[in-house]
Amino acid sequence: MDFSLSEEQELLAASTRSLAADLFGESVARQVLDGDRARADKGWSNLQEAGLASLLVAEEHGGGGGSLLDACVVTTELYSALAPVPYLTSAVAVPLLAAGSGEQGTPVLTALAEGATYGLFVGADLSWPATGPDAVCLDWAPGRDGLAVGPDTLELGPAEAGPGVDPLHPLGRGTGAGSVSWPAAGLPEASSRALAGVRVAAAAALTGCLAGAAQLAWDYIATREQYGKPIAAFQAVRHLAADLLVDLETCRSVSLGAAWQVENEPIEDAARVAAVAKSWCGEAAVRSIETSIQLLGGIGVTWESTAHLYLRTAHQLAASFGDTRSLLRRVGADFISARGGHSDGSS
Amino acid sequence: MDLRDTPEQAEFRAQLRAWLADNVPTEPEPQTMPARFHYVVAWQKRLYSGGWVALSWPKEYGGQGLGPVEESILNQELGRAGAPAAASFTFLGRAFLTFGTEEQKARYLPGFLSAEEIWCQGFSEPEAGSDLASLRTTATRDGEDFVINGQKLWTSRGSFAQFCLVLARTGTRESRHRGITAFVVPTDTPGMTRKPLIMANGDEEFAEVYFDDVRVPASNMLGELDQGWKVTQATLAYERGAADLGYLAKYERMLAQLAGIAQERGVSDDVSNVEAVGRVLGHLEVLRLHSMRRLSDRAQGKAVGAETSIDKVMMTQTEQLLLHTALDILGPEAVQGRGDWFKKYLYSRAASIYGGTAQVQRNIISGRLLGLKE
Ligand SMILES: Cc1cc2nc3c(=O)[nH]c(=O)nc-3n(C[C@H](O)[C@H](O)[C@H](O)COP(=O)(O)OP(=O)(O)OC[C@H]3O[C@@H](n4cnc5c(N)ncnc54)[C@H](O)[C@@H]3O)c2cc1C
Repeated sequence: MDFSLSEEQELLAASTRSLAADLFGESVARQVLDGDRARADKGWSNLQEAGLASLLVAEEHGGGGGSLLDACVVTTELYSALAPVPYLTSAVAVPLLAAGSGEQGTPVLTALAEGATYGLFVGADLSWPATGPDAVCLDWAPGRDGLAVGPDTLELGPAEAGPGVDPLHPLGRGTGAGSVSWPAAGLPEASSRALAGVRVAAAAALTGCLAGAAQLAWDYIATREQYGKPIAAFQAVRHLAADLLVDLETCRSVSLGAAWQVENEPIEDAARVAAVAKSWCGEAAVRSIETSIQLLGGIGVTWESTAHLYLRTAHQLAASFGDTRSLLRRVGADFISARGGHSDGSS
Repeated sequence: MDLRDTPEQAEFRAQLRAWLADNVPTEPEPQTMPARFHYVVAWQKRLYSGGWVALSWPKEYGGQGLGPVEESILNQELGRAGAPAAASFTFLGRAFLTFGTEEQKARYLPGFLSAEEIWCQGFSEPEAGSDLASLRTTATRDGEDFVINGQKLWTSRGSFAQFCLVLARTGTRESRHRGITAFVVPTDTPGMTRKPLIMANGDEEFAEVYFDDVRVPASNMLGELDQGWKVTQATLAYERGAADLGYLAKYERMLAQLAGIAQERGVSDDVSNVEAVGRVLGHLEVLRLHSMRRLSDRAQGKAVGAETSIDKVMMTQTEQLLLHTALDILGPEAVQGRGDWFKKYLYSRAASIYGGTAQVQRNIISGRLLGLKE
């Protein structure tokens, strides 16, 4: 039993962190907010050149052959640095789903390794999978195709600008998912596992949002003075600050552990733990970012504060690929039907 | 990362499972003290004779020389088999491993592990709860002895134990944590009186312990004079940690029982019940992975420290959510006392009090982990 990250993974985290600090951060996010994506797009090209955007594409297709855990480590760092790039979609979800859809996914994988960028179609309610013509394209950009994937279909299609609360990760309104269909139950294992992987990566992204917002709050309370001392001296402030760390550490534990489980354990366990990771991190991130805003006081609710950017991204992620409550209902129903009949607790 | 057992761990687990299949008591655990206490002690003795106690302790002190991972496999398998927990008070023994003299280890550890001698923890006092460093029980030197006077409170198993690890003031009244010493006190020492204290759930869970000129030899000091705070910190960190995965199997069994009850009563399709069960299960999965992370750190030799306060907060939330959910699912029957759910619920309210309250854990997290200045 070993929960630790490998030396390479620690290094990957550290190098992504410093790369993201150079390429992104608040000023780039602000430019995007003002409609200028030049530096954000440049940063994305840099990530592609560094091989991070094709990390999950198998080596045989020209990618980095990384693990889901590797990708989650990178995802957390990028979201913590407010990187306005389509990492979760183009670099994680698309390769996972394309690889999970068999032969037909190969051209997409090869294109990714060669530098293509895709959005991802999901259902209009942001749930997974995309069904019908009203699909929404996550990480939309003008001229960028979105991928729509079913167990035996895979389509690329265009989208136009759609409404969305998160300017760093814009939504498109698409018509490209028209012919994709998913069975109500009994998904092929490869598709289920790919979907579980996407959920865990979303959990890792949420963990990054939480980490970034919590750091804002921790830094602020140590220096902001009221009543003649730093507000971090007040217990009511300290306890909220402590709650942020409890949420952050548990999010790290569940997103990292689930990333490993999804790639290495039987599909029922993979699906369950992915749903748990996604719901846990979705709820904890929103809760903790709200707490961070509380700790920032008035400045926290202004347009100028970075806090609302984390909050916007976290809400969009929390609602995507199955929201907290629907995932909890699913794991609850599975548990009841599997275990409820054995009230002595035997499985 | 690899969350699977190594081949050796898998083999260990298989042996243990086989042993448990033959040895887990078939008679149900009594619901009330002191019957429950005797049942647990008998179980501890059986575990000891099977060689399943103190797995991670050195062999020379009665342990098995294995690691924290085996310790946690034991707890998992105990939970899975529906066995009573292994004596969860082994954290007191840890203090002897770290601070005891060779004579003390030889004298106390065998009885401790075999459950021939039961111990209790005499730390808290009426005036010293969260602020343990303000404790008032005194130990005054008198020749080769120390004479102890004062009162302890909330001493779990206090009425049943043969020994008490007592924190007493050996410095000045104002010396706080710098003037505290730990002593081994046999509970039949003249001058010591114990009064059972009944918990809200009706159990004789703990005791008040009075010291009236209780005389112990100076050799009963654990650790050095005035160094009792170190002993305290070490035991509390172990008491709080999440690396013990035994809780999880127990909680999961309780959740399965609840799911069964919901089905029997035809309320298992109720969407709010389904979601509530899912939410508890989510907590259990998070706690499981978080505990594995801690356990892995420990197995790699990282010292146990203030991060256990995070674990304690998470464990407390999980236990209290589980029992709240139980009452929600049981509905009005819960308040009529169906089964022992209401008792368990009452006990769960103590989770945010013992071992340092929920607020005290947050004090530790903000001060020692976040480094925020007061
Ligand atoms: C089931 C159970 C078993 C126990 N077993 C043992 C045992 O075996 N041995 C032993 O020595 N002790 C034992 N205890 C005692 C336990 O450690 C204390 O109850 C605990 O430390 C709290 O102390 P207190 O009860 O005096 O509450 P207090 O310290 O008086 O606290 C009352 C309230 O004030 C809050 N508070 C106090 N100080 C602060 C602060 N600085 N900041 C914020 N809030 C604060 C607390 O969080 C709490 O909400 C046990 C307790 C229970 C419930």
